Amino acid sequence: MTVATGTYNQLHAVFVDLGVQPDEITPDAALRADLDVDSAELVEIVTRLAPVRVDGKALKAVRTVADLVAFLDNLA
Amino acid sequence: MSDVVITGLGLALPGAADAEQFWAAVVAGRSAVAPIDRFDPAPYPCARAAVLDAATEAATVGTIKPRLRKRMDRFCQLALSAARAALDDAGLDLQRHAEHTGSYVGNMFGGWDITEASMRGLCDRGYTAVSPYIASAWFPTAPQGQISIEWALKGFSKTVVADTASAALALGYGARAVAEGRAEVILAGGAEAPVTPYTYTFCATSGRLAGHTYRPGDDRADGFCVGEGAVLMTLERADAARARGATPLARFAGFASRHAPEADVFTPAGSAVLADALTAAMTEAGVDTVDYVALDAQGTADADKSELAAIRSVLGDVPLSTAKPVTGHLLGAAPAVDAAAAVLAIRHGAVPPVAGCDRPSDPSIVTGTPLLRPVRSAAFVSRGTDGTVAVGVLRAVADDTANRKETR
Repeated sequence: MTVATGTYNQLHAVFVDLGVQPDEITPDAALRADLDVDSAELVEIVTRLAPVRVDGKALKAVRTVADLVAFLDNLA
Repeated sequence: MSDVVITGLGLALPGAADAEQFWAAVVAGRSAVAPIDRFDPAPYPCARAAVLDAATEAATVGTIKPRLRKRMDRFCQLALSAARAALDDAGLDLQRHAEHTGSYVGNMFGGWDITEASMRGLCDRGYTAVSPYIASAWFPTAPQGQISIEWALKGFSKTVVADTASAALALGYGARAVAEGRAEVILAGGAEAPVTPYTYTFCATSGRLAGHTYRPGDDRADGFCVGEGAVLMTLERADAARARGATPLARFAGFASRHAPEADVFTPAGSAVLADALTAAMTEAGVDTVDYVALDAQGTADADKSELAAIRSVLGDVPLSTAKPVTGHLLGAAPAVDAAAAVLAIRHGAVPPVAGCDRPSDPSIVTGTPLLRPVRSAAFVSRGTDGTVAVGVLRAVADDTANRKETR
């Protein structure tokens, strides 16, 4: 799967800063199952990266790292 | 109480990351109360409190992974540290015991560090500045929840809030839950973190803070200085502890709780209620006296006087002490501080002095240096402004003194 490099790299840096193992971060990684990111931590991540305020409900469809990259790019 | 023993002691306290450090401070009468530097204390009635120093912090809260730590408020971080130490000390194999292990945690205020920062952000920058972790951070049951999650505990668990008697109820109810078979193992005790601007406001408006020094039992006592910290004990049945080869530290032998009208609890009218609770706890423990009593130690003339009168009416002349001034008054967790000190007094054979008390209002109050003598039993007393009165009695494990009259 291809993802926009700029947003992905920013997201990767945030994951690493949070304490996620770098080798576990891939576009296909599931946030909850693979990276142990729950809804609260997802809000923290999005708040750090989103250029605008985000409605938490809109994050429900975000499952993977690639979903999150697409979500953030759509906000821009 | 049918043979409940304490097999583990875990703490995270000002000046003490473990039992040895705590006991060294307690016997030396060394208080960790110092000027508050986390915020400007000038507007508050007392500018001094006890918090964890950097080394103690690193050895306790600092060992929690940041990704987990950020989800918890401070009282919960302290509780998780103490819980880990209590489990380690007990040598419990949670692979086998998690199903029937629970926790009983007392606290008074919950946690407000994360919320305070979020509310400032809310006012300045709007709702996206509110931390998503508030939901699981502030409330009093958070330590019970985080302890359950951390070790996948599925046993009977509760949180108790009863002002400054909270942890006494947690310990007593926890011991009962073990004695009556609702859980095999209970982590019981308390956690509190009152040194934040908002939480300290509750302390200030309560009118219970000292002007400068917390010195219960002293004829100049004028209230307490607060402290932050957590103490948790591993409680289990004596036969179960023996079966897995654990070494019990003490027996949790007796417990009683009563209720006094709120207006009476710290006055002469409350003495009879406390005397009744003390008598009931000792009866359950099968003793007609104890080697020392750890005081509730509110640190005001009236409250101290009504407490001393109650104890004297039941026990006559008995050594009186408390470790609360060493750590600052831990509010809801404070009874667990004295219960921990009592466990260590039994282990070391010494009744510790009351830190800061130089002019004792009663000759039975131990001051200056510890009273070196075997300690086979100790009672710890606690009261809350809500009217709760609770007493626990600990006994040495191999205490076969005369007059043993089991009530169960």
